[in-house]
Amino acid sequence: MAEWSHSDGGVEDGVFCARFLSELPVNGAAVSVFGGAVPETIVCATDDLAARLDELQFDLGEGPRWDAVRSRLPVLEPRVREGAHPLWPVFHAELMHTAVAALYVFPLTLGAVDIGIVELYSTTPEALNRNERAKARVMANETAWNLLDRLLRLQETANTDPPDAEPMEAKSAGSPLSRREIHQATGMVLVQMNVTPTNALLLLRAHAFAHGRTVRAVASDVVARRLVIS
Amino acid sequence: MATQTRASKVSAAFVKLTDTLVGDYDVLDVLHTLVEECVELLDATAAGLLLADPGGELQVVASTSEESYLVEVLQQQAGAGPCVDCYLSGTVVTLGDIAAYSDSYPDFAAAALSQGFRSVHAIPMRVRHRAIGALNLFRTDTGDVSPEDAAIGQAMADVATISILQERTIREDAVVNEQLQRALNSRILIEQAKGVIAQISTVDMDEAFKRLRADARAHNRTMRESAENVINRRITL
Repeated sequence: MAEWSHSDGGVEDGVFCARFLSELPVNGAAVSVFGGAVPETIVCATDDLAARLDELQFDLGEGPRWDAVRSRLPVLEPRVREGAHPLWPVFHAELMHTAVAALYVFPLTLGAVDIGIVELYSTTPEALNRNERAKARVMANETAWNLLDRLLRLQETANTDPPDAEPMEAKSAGSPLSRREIHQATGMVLVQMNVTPTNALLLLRAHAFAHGRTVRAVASDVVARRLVIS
Repeated sequence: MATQTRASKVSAAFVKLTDTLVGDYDVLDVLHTLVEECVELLDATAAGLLLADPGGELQVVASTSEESYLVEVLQQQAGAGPCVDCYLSGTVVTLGDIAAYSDSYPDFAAAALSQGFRSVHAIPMRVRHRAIGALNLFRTDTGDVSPEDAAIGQAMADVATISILQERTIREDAVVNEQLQRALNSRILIEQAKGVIAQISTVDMDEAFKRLRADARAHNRTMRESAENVINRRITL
């Protein structure tokens, strides 16, 4: 299966995490991106503990990150040291060896596409108040948007645009996410290939990469039924 | 029966709009009703509504036609055009004769004129001192809109803004952004669902949208819910 690899955008990975730390009273943040069927890649982590918390849950196959992935909803554990955690007993036991007191996990989604997750931790219980949690959700959404924007800008910065690129497309240099064809093509490909929306978009991207084209151009062809991804 | 007076048409439109604001309403449903009412009520041929995305770029979220000719014109001016000026300045921008602005907005003017639009009126969607997007009214004639139409248009834009933000949440900036993002997210979901319908039922995107909207209305669902059902393959339209 295709992956969200080849992150060739101009933005430094670290900025995705650093923003959470500078704007919210948390001690660490990690952002990881789904790679379709195969392992996820951590985009950034602000410190070793943030990275370890993510890896630990990944290795154990349990933890709040998985709950957030499954439900596509935030998982808030403001007093994570207290009480029983029947869904992730091993991860909880491991947590007790760290200074982590609160965990906040937000899924990064856009429409029906799952892009990744962001995990925040604090050594203070109830680190985030209601307004800060809302702010964290907004920042997670912005992160999802920016990550996907960057991942879809494949080839666009290079001057290798194929001559068949539509003139309209060349002129509007805005975010690829503003191109409705990309989302429409995602819907078409998920039917054609019987895959999840996330994998459908990954396939579009992989096709674009393999053929040295932009995702926009490939999506236009799919919508116009000039191209079937297979 | 006698033809409706202007005032009764306007009040009927606002009743219809506020009817969509009850319970667990979907912002996109409200915005679609709004753009449709705009062309019914005002001297306008087409209308479109754009909201700012997390990158500060304007995205088309509702338009009187889903066909690409209108969406392209709307999206085109998100780069440089009266809509983005209106959004950035937070004030009304009127181009009574689009052809006269070919130098200032070459791409927008070319796109609009090629579709027969000769004037445009852009109304900001404002929350206190901040704009979140803009409502655009296109006409096939040149000339400015009447002061009365301008006033009604602004009132419609205000209703749209309230529908997105809901009064109780306006105080918190984070929540303002969250509601905005939800509207943009719904739009993406709808585009994905249109693709699913187009592929399964071999119809074009315009027809796919109509089916989505008809399903939402027939089952008293939001378009977002219908779109989710389509993508998860719980229903086939």
